[in-house]
Amino acid sequence: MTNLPSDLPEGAGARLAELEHGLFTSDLSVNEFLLVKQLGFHPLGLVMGSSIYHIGLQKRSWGSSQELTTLTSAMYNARELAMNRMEEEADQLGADGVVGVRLDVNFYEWGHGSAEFIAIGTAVKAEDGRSYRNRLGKPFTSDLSGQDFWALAQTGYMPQALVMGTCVYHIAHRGLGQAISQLGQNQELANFTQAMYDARELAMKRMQDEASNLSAAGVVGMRLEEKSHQWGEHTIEFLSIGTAVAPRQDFDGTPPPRPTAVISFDN
Amino acid sequence: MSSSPVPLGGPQNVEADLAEVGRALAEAQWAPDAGAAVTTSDLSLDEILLLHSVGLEPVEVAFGVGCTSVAFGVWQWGMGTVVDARQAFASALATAKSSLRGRAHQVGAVGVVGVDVQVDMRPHVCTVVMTGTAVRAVLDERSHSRFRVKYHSSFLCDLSARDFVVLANAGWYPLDLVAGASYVQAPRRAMGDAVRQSTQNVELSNFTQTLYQAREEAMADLQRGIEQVGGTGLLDAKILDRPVPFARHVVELVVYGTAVKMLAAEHQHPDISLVVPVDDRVRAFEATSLRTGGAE
Repeated sequence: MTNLPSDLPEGAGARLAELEHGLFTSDLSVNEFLLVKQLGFHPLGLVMGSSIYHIGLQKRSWGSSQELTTLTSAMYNARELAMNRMEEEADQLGADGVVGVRLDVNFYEWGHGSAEFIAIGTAVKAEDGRSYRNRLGKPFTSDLSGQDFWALAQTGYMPQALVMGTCVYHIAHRGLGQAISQLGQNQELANFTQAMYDARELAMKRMQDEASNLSAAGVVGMRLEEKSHQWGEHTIEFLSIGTAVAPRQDFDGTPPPRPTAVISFDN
Repeated sequence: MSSSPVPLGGPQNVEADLAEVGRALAEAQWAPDAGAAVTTSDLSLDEILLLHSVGLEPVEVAFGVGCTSVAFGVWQWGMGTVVDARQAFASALATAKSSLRGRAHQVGAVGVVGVDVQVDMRPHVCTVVMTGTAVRAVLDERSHSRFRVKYHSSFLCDLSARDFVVLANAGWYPLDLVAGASYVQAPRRAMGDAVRQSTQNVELSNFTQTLYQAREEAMADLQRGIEQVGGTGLLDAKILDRPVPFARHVVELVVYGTAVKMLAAEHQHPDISLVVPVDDRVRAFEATSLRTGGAE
């Protein structure tokens, strides 16, 4: 383990070296483990990447809606760092991909103005020796659960990468005069609506761009999260995240099994 | 998969015991309760039925506790890993495990399923409490167990009884609960750096490095634990990542899960079919609504 990627902090090597000898660790549940095995993959190890990142400051003007580009790029960079380190660990294990990826942001009390970005998932490798890496030659990443991964494979698709787009947006306050004139009326607050629309569009477009760079067929399991983190209520991060998928080369066209209707007795 | 290493801690005959358990499970058939003994358990009826499907039954709710003192002053001074806290955790964990296993052995169990793990780190004491349901081979009419295992070969797992049975049907067997913990002090930032970086987007590399180190240490302990019990893998890893309440500049990281080993010759793939539940949500009966005279 002398040729660790330079981006990984020291100390990451020893644990991974042990995993290369057949021992595996994973946070897959028993069900997920069986489903991943069913697809012909074997778990290799729990892989993670993290970055503690100081988020810069940016002046917000009280009355105008605008993207806060410094904050957006901080959220982007820090997540990229965490994801890349996780991918590097997976690469080190010779994995084909990482399933069940969780991407979290933690704020610690001691780290004023900074946050920890962390990505954790289970690296898997195909048992038949075939490569399932994505078009960039990297292990695929996906936040799909073991169950969803299995179901996706039945439809003839494989995950390519976890794609995301983010936009930190400041939403203008209403002027005093405006607030008074609208008092007691039913009225759409057009500037709020507009700002929310713009921010969401930006986040989703960035995610789609990432997917088209991978020439993916689509994005599944997509979610749109809105969080204010520690910026106060008028500054919101819009994060759109999902798994980009592409048709699998080895798919024989067998349709997925037809579901049976059941009435479960475990209520 | 590579061959399993010889267990370092336990006696050499664990392998032979496990082989026997493997055979017993492979041949396991539905074994009804012979009504030979009273049992207590916190399992659901479904889970008890599932255990019977592999010839096991619950015996009793068992628990194990480990308490270790933490030296004075370890939280306030120094940098990097709080070694003493890590050792205290390891020792409390070992005591809790051996007392749980001891109780299980006493009641003739082959192992404990559904173990709940509580870790409580205080300034001067670390407590680990484990609670689970001990299970044994179904007794016959003469109250004889169909098979028993020795103390060192009995298993502990935090998998539910349901997960245990599903896993056993796939040819795998849980061996032990393994855990790793690490307590790390966040580094201090130089005043100059803090001021200079206050408006910038920048990675705090020394912080990143410290937390990486903490995780690596905990994970390395975990992996050592798996190897020591002769496991080939770990399932359902739980990661607790939280600041220590009484020392907020210290980050606690606990990783635990169940070490597993394949006892069958090869992995048995279950038959999977897709189902769509067609039942509507059941409205639960609420006794409180009677007391207050209906919905208000």
